[in-house]
Amino acid sequence: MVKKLIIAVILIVAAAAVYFVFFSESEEQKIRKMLNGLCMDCAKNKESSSAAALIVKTNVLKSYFTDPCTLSVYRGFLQGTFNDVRIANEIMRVNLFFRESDLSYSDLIVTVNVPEATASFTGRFQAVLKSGERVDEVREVDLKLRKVEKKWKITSAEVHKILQR
Amino acid sequence: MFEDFFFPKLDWKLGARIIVVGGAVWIICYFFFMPCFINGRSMEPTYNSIGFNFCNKMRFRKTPATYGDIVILRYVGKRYYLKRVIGLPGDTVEFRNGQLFRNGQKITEDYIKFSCDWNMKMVKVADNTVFVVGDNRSMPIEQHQFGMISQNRIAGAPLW
Repeated sequence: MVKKLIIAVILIVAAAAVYFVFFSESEEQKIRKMLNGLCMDCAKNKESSSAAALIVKTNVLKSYFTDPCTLSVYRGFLQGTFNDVRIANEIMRVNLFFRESDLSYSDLIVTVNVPEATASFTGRFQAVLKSGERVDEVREVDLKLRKVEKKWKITSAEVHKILQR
Repeated sequence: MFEDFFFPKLDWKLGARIIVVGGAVWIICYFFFMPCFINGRSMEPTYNSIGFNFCNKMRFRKTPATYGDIVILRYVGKRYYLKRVIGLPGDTVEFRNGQLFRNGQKITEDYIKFSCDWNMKMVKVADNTVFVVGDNRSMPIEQHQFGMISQNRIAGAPLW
């Protein structure tokens, strides 16, 4: 009986260890996943440019931001405090200029202090304008995030050049 | 001997040797000395526009980069910048007719060999950043990539 109990305890501990190692997500992983989703939803390709897809995307995009959200993206553009719907609309509006676009990030550094977090990374925007001209911009991005209903959302975003004069 | 060296017998010993040597090379290149190709004129004449070097990743582990140090900076992906540090946090940096002024004082830069006519308004170097610039100041200022950059982008220093 004792032997069976010990085996059962070992199995439970092993199962818990496997769960924590392979299936549980750290807050950092959740933020990374959120950023991956944001990059994917900001991107524009042939499949995502239909009217129906644009409506769906607008709804999805607003879920990444808090209402209100402070942005400092570019002088004179997306600088100030906006609501989530406005931000989603602006992203879609910008995408209209491009035939296709892709957003990616690297060198992510996350600091978590639940329910808040900061994320700094190098963001890269590559796109092809409707005229065929290519765009390849690299910027440093600093995000402030807050956990709202188990989901990390962006409360503020600051985008600046890597080399600032 | 010659034949053994260039055409070794394909056995498990050779496989093990390849794995050990390959692993050691990877560890050295990844953690200590990253190989890099130089492609650009911004550090001429200190570094030629095309060349090869290693990034010594250990260089600034204990002591931070300071005035005059040449640093390799992470940009994006596999692209890095090679620049010289001319300003540290809290400093003011300015160019007047090609002459560098730091904290209002004229700085002599022996490594500048080409003539320069740059003018740049005074800039205060922000916290956790360094001000970097290339040695080739004969380039038009608009074409030269320089400015304040986050200290955590310093990947290391060129090995030579």
